[in-house]
Order: sequence, then structure tokens, then C-alpha cells
Amino acid sequence: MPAGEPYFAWVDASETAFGPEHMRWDESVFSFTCEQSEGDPASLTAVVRRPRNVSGNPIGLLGPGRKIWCWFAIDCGTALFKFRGRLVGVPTSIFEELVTLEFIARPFDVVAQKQALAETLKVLPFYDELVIDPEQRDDPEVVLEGYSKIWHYDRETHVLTVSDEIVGEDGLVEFDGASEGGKVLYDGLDLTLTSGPLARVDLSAEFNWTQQAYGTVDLTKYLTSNWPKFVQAHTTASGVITSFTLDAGSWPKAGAGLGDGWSVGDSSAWDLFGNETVTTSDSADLTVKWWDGATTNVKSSYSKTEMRMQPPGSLMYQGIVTDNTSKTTYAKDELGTYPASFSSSYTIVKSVLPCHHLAVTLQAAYTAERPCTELVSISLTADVQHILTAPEDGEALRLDGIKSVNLSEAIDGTPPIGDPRRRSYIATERGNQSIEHLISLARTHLLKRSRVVEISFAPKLERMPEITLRKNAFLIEPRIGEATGKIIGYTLALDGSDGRINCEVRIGCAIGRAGSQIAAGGEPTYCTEDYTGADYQQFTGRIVLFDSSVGYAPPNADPDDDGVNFMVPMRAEDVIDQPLVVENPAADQYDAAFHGSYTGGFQGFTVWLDEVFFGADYATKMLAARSQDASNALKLVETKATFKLKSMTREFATPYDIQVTDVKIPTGYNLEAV
Amino acid sequence: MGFETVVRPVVFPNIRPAPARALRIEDAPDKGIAVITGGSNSLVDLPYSEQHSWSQSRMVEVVRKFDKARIYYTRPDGTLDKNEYWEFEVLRSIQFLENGQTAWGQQYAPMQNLENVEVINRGLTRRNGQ
Repeated sequence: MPAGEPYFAWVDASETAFGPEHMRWDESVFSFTCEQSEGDPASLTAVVRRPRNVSGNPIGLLGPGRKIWCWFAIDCGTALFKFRGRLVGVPTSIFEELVTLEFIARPFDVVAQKQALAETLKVLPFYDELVIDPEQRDDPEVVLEGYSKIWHYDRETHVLTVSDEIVGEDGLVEFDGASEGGKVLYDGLDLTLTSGPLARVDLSAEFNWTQQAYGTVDLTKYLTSNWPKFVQAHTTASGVITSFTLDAGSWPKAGAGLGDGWSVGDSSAWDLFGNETVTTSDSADLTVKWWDGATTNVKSSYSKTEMRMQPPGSLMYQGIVTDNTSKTTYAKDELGTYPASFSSSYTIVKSVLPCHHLAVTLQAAYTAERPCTELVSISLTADVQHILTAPEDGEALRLDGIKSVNLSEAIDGTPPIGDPRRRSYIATERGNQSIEHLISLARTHLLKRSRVVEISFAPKLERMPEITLRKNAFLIEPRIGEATGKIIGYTLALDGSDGRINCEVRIGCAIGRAGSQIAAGGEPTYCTEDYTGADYQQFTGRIVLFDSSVGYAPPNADPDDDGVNFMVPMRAEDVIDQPLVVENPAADQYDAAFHGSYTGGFQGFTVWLDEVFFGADYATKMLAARSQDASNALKLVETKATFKLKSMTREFATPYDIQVTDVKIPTGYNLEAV
Repeated sequence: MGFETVVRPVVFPNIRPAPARALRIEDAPDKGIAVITGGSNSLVDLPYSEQHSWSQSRMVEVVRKFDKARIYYTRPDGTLDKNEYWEFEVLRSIQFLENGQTAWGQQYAPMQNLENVEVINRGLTRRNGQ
């Protein structure tokens, strides 16, 4: 079989392996073009003589039952260049002697293959589902976002794979310019510059979660120790608060609100002394019957009311005599007038304004739902050769709008942030993987745009079977020097008019400066690294490699929040936002009620009331007025304690500027040496 | 900065999760304040009182019952001289008037005859003033 001989065989879809039986001529191929560009399936355009049956009548190419698959091969001398494809579209010029058939090496199950392949590519850090809308996660095209790879369709097997755009996976095809097969034709060599390289990618991303926690904080000691002391009480017990108005009944009950996300979990209040009074009374009754029949009756009684336990610091009011009367009655008989009876009554009323001494407890319960955001910014610079006279004129790409799902909502049963109580996501191990994903996104753009130099050349036919889009090519040619690039396209064509076979290979060459980054251990902030290992503590100046091309400094957690750490037991001091302020504590109330009173003889009156101090029953009125006056005075100086607990619904945002190294990019072509 | 060109590529613009919300970062200082207040108080009155009294009644005699008796003289030798005697009244009971009501007072046992005493009349009555 001579080199350059093409074969064309109509086959069934099941004939996926090429065999000698396919080296036949089902059609007379007049000319053909087989080509493939990066990301696309290979295609074959064949111009064949119009098919006819044994009677010489034209055969309908689109007739039912006709085969639509073909094996096409061309003998390159050393091996066959093979193509398997499916007829697509309507053949053109079907009424002419020569008809054009279009075949494509695209598998029927391309969607299923892509989906299956995409599943295998969902690997951190190149793919991070956290920054992908759940509705879009099944889109296979999305998977490649973090890869510098592109879909590759095998022109024979139709197996779908991905291939890196800088370094091919299947090896290197060398055109050394010296060996016979390593030479390329003089004609057909071309070098073009696509757009300039991307110099920098500025990327910003938001990672959101709802910081969730619940628990209790004991505020008892904080409240009682910071409650103003009442010196007049002298012996206020530890853990006891005092007030002339605040009583046990008004202490916050379980369930009462205490602020944003706070309520009373448990509480108690007990008045140590109370207002209970006890009354003691006694009486005596004595009757004397005299010898002559006369009688004398003597009666005496008293009643005394006292507080069972008078609270220390209580305000004492002087006694008011409400009754002080005596009466003598006389009787008259045949012997004359004589005193028949005598009675006296005395009542004095003292008053006490009792001071409440409350032994209290207060457990504050919190339910935190705090939206947190970490704003991550990365500026990644490519170490590439410049094609402009001023390197600063390079192109920068801005990637923004990258947002995460809610990291505290479970995916497959586990929230991405791990513990929703966390203050920082990005500093966690999983957070670092998200950083690496962002780096992979930026790095992908830089790598793809670094392939600035495109070279096309015409190899000899014998080398064409080696050419696939999963390989790199190395070229030495006196006019361009040396170049290494990813094969991004090829064409193999036969022009039937002159019988010449044209071969073309196109490569894309990165213009990086090569090299690799070096990891740095950094300085541990807690103890020597060998004591706890590298994953236990935070470091400064640490560089972790994404791969040999780029590294980054893992950020230390530095949340710009209110300092509340739900991961450890919290004390009152940890959650107090505004400290306790007590308006009108007991001492002030005492002064207001005592010194503010009218002291012109009747303690307890703030005003002089003529209708009280004069007139009938003045003492009783005085007593009632004094009571009313005390109540009124206390209403003006009610004890009011306020404090603020740190909000459990507040939102926080923390910026993180991730330090990264330059991206080292391979040198496929040295423009600076041209 | 040179003539840097910033480009915004159309890179899967719709694959990102929707923004959660517009951020409200600042906390409102006057919100979420915990307030403990309320309650009341009033004076507790502590009265002390005492009462003293006495009363007396005085009775007036209306009628009295009595017996009349004689005590004879006893000579130094122990014999009686019945010509020499003293007569006196021995009270048996008094009816008093007290507050317009009459009531008999104590009843005394009648006097008994003795050697030198002779009850000469029993059950005599006499109204007051007669």
C-alpha cells in the first residue's frame, strides 16, 4: 500500500475498532480534509464520487438503511492516520458527480461521557462546589472552571477526556530539524501573537455563613458584683442587690427578652427580708367586788405591730400619734355624784420604707444567628515575558462576584464550615482549600492567556499519525529557533485537483519565564513546629505551595467581629457589650426619699399640705398623705438597670487579602531571545 | 500604573450562588438594651396602741332585813343580870338599788341564841330613811 493512499469504509456504529477489513474503498475519495481544533471533535470533509448501484443509477445517500458511520484512514508510510466519524447534515451537491460528505468524530453519548468525566473532576481545589450555585453543579462545563484543561475528543475511539492547555498528557512530538522525519517543510511555517498575555488577575470572593450557636451565660455574678453598693445598709450580703422599688416580682422571668438573640434562660429572685409584719397584743381585765356590793372593773390592753425582719437600710419614719384620748364619766345616786368610769386610748403609728434585699440569679440564654462574611481578595501575577515595551501596560483581569453558598447549611449531611459556631471559615483547613480553588481560578486564566505565541508548521505526512491534541510538540526551525507548545490543531488534507497532501500542525506556546516556587515554613506563633506539628498552630510568613508554580500564605484567623467565641464556655465579661448602668440605686432613692422630704416637723412630706395639717382627723390624714407622698417620691426615682449584651443577630464582614507568589509559567517560546 | 487594561470576562456569570443579603454591618447602639426595672414599694405602717379603763358602781340601801337581839349583863361571878342588857340589830340582808333596779345582796345567817344573848325579834324590815 503506497503512502498517501486513503481508505474509506462505511461501517456500523458498533465497529469501533479499526481492522484490516476497513482498508477498503467504499467510496472514491476525490479530496478530503481532516482537521481538529482544540476543544472540538475532529471532522472530516470528504469529496467523493457520487455513489451508484451496479446498474449505474445514483444511490440516495440519505436512503433508509444506509450506514452513516465511516472509518477513514490514510497511509502515512509509517502508520495509518485514522478517523472514525458519523455523517452529519445533508450532503452538499448531491446531484453533482462529486458530492461532499461531512463527518464528525463526536460520540453519541457525549453528554453522558461529559457528565461522567465531570464527576471525576470534581476534586478540590480545582472544583469547589461551595462557590457554585447548587442548580449549576451538574453542568459539566462548570467543572473545568478551575482547570487549565479543555475537552478532548479522540478521533478514533471517541473517548472524551480533558487535556491541559499547556502540558499535554500524552507526551511530546519532536521536530528536531535534524532527522529526516524531524524536519518541517519550509512553506507553511508561521508565527503569530495572539492577544497579549494576562499580567494579573484580581479576584474577590465572598464566603458566607450563619454563625449559629445556642447556650447560656451566667450573668449573676456580673450583675450582683457591679450593682451599686448601698452603704446605708451596712451589711449588704454578697450576691445581693438592693433597691427601694425593684422587688422580687419584677426580676426578669424565664423567657423574657434581654436583647438581640438573648432571653432569660433561668432566673430567680428572693427577697431576703420581705415586708411581713407581726402584731402582738395583750389585755387584762380585773373586777373587784367590794364588801358592800360595789364593784370596780379595770381593763388594760395594747397592740403592737412590727416587721418580722426589718431590712437593713430601710428608711424609718417618725411616729404619728393618731389617737390620744381619755374620758371620765360620772354617776349620781342618792348619795350624790361620783366618778363611774374612766377610759384612755393612745395610738402611735411609725412607718418604714423597707429596702428590698434581693438574692438573684440570672442565666442569659442566647440563640445566635449571625450572618458572617469573609471577603477574600487575591491578586495573582503571572511571571511572563512582556510583549509590550512597558510591562505595566499589561492586561489585568478582574474576577469578582464569586460568592459561596451558606457554609453553615449542610451539604450531604455536613456543613462545609464544620462547626457553625466558628468565627472564621477561611482560616480552616477547608477554607484553605477554598483559597486554593480561587488561586486555581486565577491561575487558569493566567495560564490560558500565557499561550500567546501560536506557531503553525507543515510536518511530513509520516509524522501525522503521532499528532493528537493531547500532546505537545517541540520544534526546532532555523527561522524561529526552538519552541515547545501544546498542539492546538492539525489539518490533513488532500486536494484532488493536484493530488497533494497538505499537513499542518498548530501549537500554542506559553511565554512564561519557567522556574518554580519554593515553600516556606514560616514562624510558628505558639510553639516549635516539631512539638505540635504544622497543622496545630498559626504561622507567620508561611508559604504553602498550590503546586510548584504558585504558593500562598494561609491566613491566620483574624475575624473583624465582636470577639464572641462560641467554641469555648463564655463568661459574662465575654458577652457584655455595654456595661451595667443602674439609675437610681438604693442610695439615691434613700436620699431622694429622706433628704427630699419636708422636714419641718413631719418627716416624710415633700410639700406642706394645709388640708392635711389642719382640720379634723389631721393625724390620720397625715399618715395617709405620708404614705402617698412616699409612693409618689419613689415613682420619680425608680431603679432602672440597663446593660447590653453582644448582639446575636449582628452581621460581620472580615476582609482577607491573601498573599500569593507569582505564578511560574513554562517557557514555551522565548520572545526575549528573538 | 500604566495603561493597564482591566477587563471583566464573561466567565460563567450565572453559576454563583445568589447573594444572601445586603450586609448591615454596624450594630445599633440603642437597640437590644436589656432593661431591669419595675416593682413598687410603699410604707409599712407599724402602729402601737394601748387602752386603759376602769369603772365602778355604788349601791344604795333600800330595805334591810334584820333580827333584834339582847345581850345581858354578866356579873363578875358569872351570873346574868337580865335587867341590865343592850339591844342591837343583827343584819340579815339588804336590798340595794343600783341603776333603778333593786336586788337583794348578801344573805347572812340568823344569829343564834346564846347564854347571855337572846334574839328577841326576827325578820324585821326597815326601809331606808325610816
